[in-house]
Amino acid sequence: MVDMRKGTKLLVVDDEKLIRMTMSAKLKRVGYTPVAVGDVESAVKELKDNPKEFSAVISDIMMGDMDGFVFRDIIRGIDPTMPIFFLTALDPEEGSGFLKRILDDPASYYLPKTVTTEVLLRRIRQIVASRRVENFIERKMEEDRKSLELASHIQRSMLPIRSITTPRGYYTTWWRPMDMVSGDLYEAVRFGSGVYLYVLGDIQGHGTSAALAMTAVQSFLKNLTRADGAPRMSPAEIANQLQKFFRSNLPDVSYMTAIICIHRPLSGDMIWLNCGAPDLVVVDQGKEVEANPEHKGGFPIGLFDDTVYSEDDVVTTPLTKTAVCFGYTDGLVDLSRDEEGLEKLPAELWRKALRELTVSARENGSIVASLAKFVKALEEYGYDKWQDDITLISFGARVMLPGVYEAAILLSPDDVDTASQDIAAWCREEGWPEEAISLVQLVFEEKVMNVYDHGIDERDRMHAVVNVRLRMRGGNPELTIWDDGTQEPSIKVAAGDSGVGFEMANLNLSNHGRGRLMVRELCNGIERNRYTSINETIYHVRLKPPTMEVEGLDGLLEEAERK
Amino acid sequence: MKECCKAYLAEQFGGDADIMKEIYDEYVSSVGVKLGEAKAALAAGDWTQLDHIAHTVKGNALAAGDVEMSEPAIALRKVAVLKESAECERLIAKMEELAKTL
Repeated sequence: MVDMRKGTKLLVVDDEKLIRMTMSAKLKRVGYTPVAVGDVESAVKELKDNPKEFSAVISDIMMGDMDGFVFRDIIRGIDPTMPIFFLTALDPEEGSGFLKRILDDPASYYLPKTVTTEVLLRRIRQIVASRRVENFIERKMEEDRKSLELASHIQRSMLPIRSITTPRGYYTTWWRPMDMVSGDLYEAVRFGSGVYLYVLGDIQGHGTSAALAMTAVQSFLKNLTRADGAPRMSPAEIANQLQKFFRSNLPDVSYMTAIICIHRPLSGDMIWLNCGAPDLVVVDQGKEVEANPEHKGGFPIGLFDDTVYSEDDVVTTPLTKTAVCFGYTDGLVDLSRDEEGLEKLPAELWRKALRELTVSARENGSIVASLAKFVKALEEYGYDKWQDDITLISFGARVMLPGVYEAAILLSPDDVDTASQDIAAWCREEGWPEEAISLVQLVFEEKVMNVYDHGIDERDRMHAVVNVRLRMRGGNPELTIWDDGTQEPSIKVAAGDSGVGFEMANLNLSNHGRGRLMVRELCNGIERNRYTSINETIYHVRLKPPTMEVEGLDGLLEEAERK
Repeated sequence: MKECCKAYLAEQFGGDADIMKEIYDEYVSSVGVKLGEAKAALAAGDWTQLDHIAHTVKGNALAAGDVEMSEPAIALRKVAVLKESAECERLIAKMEELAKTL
């Protein structure tokens, strides 16, 4: 058996040499390594110079240069959980106030100066051992957290980009693990001109085991759907391949509910198979359309050995150009208002929110950012306690509203440049003045590159997307950008602001490490909102630059800096 | 070495003569110094300092197993707080007498 005392260093602090000597001798006798110092300054130096080296501190309370409790406060600043044994010659009756103060701190203990070696050993061994266990657990948890963080990035990198727009259609997704890693997955693959395959899967359970299965399935799905001839596969054939994969590789370990859907905007329909998942919801102009009237579908993939999916299980749902299709994993209905998960989200509530948001998003050209607002709305109703992983997908035909530009743009310098040219071309088609086009491009590029440089973890840049909407409002361009970069503070600078609001907003931004935006010179107003994990920034671009000097601005800014 | 100290230290340090001697010598030396400081504090009327010194003597005496010395030290703390000069003087004298037996 390993002797845990060997090499365990204890710091002994007492201004009396005799006490240092007796305590050190007692500790040495029982196998500890004492380091004895005669004043607080030396003790603090030892602790700072050798962090994590000492397992406990044994200190006098009444020392010449400092009260032991003040010394404890200093130690707590260095190590909040370091066990401190207060050594005192006080009798309990005499020093009841001291005893109370000692025990006020959960990691402080009392030892009489006359403590016998046996008692000393027992007390220190107990406390130091539990501290070792705590440190071990803390280290393990930190290691686990880092591993999970890495796993989370890997999972994200395996998923397709969050949102896409094509000339004929769009899709947008919302993927959020309950605890860093997820058992949910989605795939979006182009299956021909304007045709997209969408797979939405929910692997049984959540946490690490579900996440490992997710990475395996996602990887298999990528190979399957990108192989030659894949676009000729039907949803049932894809499901059968997945079934084989589950039964060969994850038998009796895991299964997956899934929606496998081929969206064909040109044919005006979608063909899809439901494998034990909630049915797709179709909303068209504020009304729900029955997407699967015959309740077709099959068992979850991999649940039974002999499941075979047939073309009879596949549903064909006609879709108008304005229809919005919505898929979700059942984590959505597990959303709750309370920690226990008892007050679950009622179907009628989220369906109503979905219908209303879909209508407004279609009308105002923000459909590619609609899921963020949907989740935010549910949170505002109080359903913000997540009990499971959640993945949402929305897709449909692309409806180009007159006078509104809407797109999802990959966040890379090249794509941003191309998008900027695309925006300019659209503005020219709309007959916007060149001055307005230049200003819009400038604000767009400045904002999006700010997100790229400061708002997105380097590991996530490959898959980052921003959604853009541009339209003319009251004679001035209005540019809205949705990004999933780090959280930015909410700000609102009204149109016609004299400049103070802009400066304060910029100060707020720079304090959050996201750099300043030169919007004051380019905009009449700016608004920023946060929708769960999405920042929404609305720029009211102005056509004429301001000339106004702001009186007293410096003083206001200094005041804000101080705050 | 005073008998009570010898017994106590032997028990604490498993009869390790070297450690016992080292600690006992330090105790004897510290008592001499502290009693000198106590007399100076009393002469200066520095009751707080006298209380602190008495506390230290008590701690050292107990650490060395000298219960006899710890008793007047405890009493000295009490009378120092009450600023009873004559009683303080008497107790210091008593402690000096005890120190001679070390």
